[in-house]
Amino acid sequence: MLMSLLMSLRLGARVPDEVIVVDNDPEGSANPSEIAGLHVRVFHAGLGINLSGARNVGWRLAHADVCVFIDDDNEVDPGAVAELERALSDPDIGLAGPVIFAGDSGTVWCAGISRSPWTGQTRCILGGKSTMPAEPTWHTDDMPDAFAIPETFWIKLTALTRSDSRSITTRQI
Amino acid sequence: MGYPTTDYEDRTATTEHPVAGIRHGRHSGKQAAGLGIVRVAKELPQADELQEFNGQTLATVAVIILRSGARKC
Repeated sequence: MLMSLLMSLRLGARVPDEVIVVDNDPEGSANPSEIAGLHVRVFHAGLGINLSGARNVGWRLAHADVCVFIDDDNEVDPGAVAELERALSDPDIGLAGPVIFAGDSGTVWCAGISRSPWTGQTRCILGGKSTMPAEPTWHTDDMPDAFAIPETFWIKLTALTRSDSRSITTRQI
Repeated sequence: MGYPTTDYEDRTATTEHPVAGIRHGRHSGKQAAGLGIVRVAKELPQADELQEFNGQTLATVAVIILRSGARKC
């Protein structure tokens, strides 16, 4: 799965300037083959299921202006990274997330998170649907599985999620 | 021959605040089913649009791939 993701990044319209694999497997199982034209670093963090810890490790290691976080079992469409970067060129946008589709079926798996303020129950916005809303923006109560964020905004976001549960506006891209 | 690897020694991150709120158990079920393709839009930008964009790159981009410790594949 990891190699499929790396290859999809290499074949994209916007090849990332750096790719950092944060391996949370305590046994350090990530050992991807080299792909010409893709600058990859692998770090064995060994944090188990501590996903947020892995994100912070990756963020600290990155040198780029924009950080795109993604799980290793995903693949990106050819224009994905370019579109995320383009979205963040708007200074009023602090975070951009893609719509995540389920496999190749065209069914939306998750286009954001809604959370009940009363029960705390969460659900994926548009989950199971195959059509996108006409509105260009909508609200999400949490970040999707994959998202892009300016490197300098990361600390501000962590502060936000600690103290504020208000919705974040996300934009369809 | 793979990429050179580096052991990351700072394990203090285990105590940090969960900033993203991803439900790992829920998500791993989807992963086991082979789901999770990321797409941006059903209609991708035309090639000339991407070319124009590439000529106006304003920022450097890092992709940070998260590999869970709960599965190996």
